[in-house]
Amino acid sequence: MTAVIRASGLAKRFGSTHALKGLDFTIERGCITGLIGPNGAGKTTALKAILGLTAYDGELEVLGLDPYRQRTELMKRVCFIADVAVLPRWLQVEQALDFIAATHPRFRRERAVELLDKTDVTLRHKVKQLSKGMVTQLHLALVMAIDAELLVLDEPTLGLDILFRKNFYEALLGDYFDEGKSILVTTHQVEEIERILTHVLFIDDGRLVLDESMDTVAEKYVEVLVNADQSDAARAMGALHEREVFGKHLFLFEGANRAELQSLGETHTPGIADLFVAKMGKAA
Amino acid sequence: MNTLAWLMRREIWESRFVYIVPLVVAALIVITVPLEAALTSGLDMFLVHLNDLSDVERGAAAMVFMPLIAIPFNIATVLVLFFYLQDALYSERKDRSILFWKSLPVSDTQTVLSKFLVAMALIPAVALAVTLITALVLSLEISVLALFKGENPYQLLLKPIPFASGSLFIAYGFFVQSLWYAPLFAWLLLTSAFARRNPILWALAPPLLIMLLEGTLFHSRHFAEFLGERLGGVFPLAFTSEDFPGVHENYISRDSMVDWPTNMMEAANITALLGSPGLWGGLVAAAAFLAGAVWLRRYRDESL
Repeated sequence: MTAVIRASGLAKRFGSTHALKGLDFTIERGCITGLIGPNGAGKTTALKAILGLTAYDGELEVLGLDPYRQRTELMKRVCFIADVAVLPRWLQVEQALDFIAATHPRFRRERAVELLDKTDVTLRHKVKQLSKGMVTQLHLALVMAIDAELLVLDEPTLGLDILFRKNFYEALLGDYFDEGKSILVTTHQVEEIERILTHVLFIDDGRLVLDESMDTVAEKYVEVLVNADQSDAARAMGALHEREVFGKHLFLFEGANRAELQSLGETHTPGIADLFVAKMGKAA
Repeated sequence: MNTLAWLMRREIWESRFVYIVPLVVAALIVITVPLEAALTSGLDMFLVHLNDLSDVERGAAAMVFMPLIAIPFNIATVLVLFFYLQDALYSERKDRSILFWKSLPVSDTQTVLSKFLVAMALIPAVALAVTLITALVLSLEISVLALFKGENPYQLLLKPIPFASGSLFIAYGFFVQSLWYAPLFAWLLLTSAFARRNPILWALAPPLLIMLLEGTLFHSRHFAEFLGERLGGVFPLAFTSEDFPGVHENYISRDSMVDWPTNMMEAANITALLGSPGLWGGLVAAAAFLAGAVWLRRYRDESL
């Protein structure tokens, strides 16, 4: 595998605020990585640095390029949806197709038309005539018709209803993703994307809190549902996090002996959201 | 088509008023002028005057026809340019669509340049085309009306109007005006890229402030005069009435008209224009303002 993004000591300061306090991570080709963190953690700043939209300190290489200096070159190989509904309202769908076809060497017009055929968006529509969900479908179709090596999505489904959100990720996985491509995504709705992720990066207060593949997460982290009478025993084993569920205690362990835990109660792999809460609690 | 041409096309998709405004002006002219002439005694008086002139005099008088039509188009174009440019690098930031445009492999230099070229060449070219068509349509309309009055429109109108040299004359006028106003266009692009809100205010406030400061501190008005000269336009410099005796006086006598050249381009003073430091200085300033606009679009992080 080759690295798509390589960051070392990636930092960003706005005046006296340190938005990023030195991130080190590598994202390999063919991965779907979720960048997860609370508001103000530095997710968007990190994505902007990766997309060459902001200056930064430290080292950052995207597809072997310096994103800030070689931005136009980078945009031939990287695609992004920065936010919902940033398509200009006056733009007609057909104009969008014509313009991207003329300016983007990796855009396949027929592919975009094919993808749009599955939606209610027609070539005659103007963006201002479309609902928020349809604008997102349009944007996704445009992006999916570009044979990019890296796709960056920053809260691409914010404010959309559940059906659109579900279709969005299904389309992404079914009609777009393959081993040659990589996707980096941030979202608040972690539960909806955790099934499609191959890697997670947790970021909090400008620092990286977790950087694991989903396989490692499943190996390393275990949740055990323990009856109240055994909770002291579980606590003694050094749980990362504990919470009460229907009178039972749910413990989250990192790197614990699975067989030992099974004697305490029912074990399973924690969800990303729960792991996130546990990790954040520890960091705080 | 190359990227720059597509970028310019995109500008027209977004700002349709750049061709709608001249078309509206054209419609007003070709509808109201013949109507006014036919419904009042205007047409009759006009035909009497034309009949009164000799062929040579008529040829000289007809020279005024096309420039006269160009005047409303020129005024409309200056307004179109102002509103187009002050918004050109502002609206994409206001509606955040800049994030979409920036996701495409198009450089900021190309983008800014395309907007500048729309102002320098495309908008004047549209205005020129519409002006020429209007002149043609209007002359034909008046010819038809003259025909109904039992006059010979070919002899009175169509033959004397210098369509060829008149078209060149107007084209030259629009083109040199662009060159002269280039620093103002680039300034509007710069402030449009800079303003977080109210780009018109940012475009107008700095020069007004300089004038105010100069007036208060030094009791002089050099900057105001400098700016007034630029805004006043290039026509006094780019055109000369040397070969057209009588034009610089208020009263043009019939005797002096006889000596006028038949080619309207004799009025173009290209050497004076090209020798003017004002023209070249303006272009250098335009380049500097454009570089600033490119830099702002490229590097300013607005925490989008």
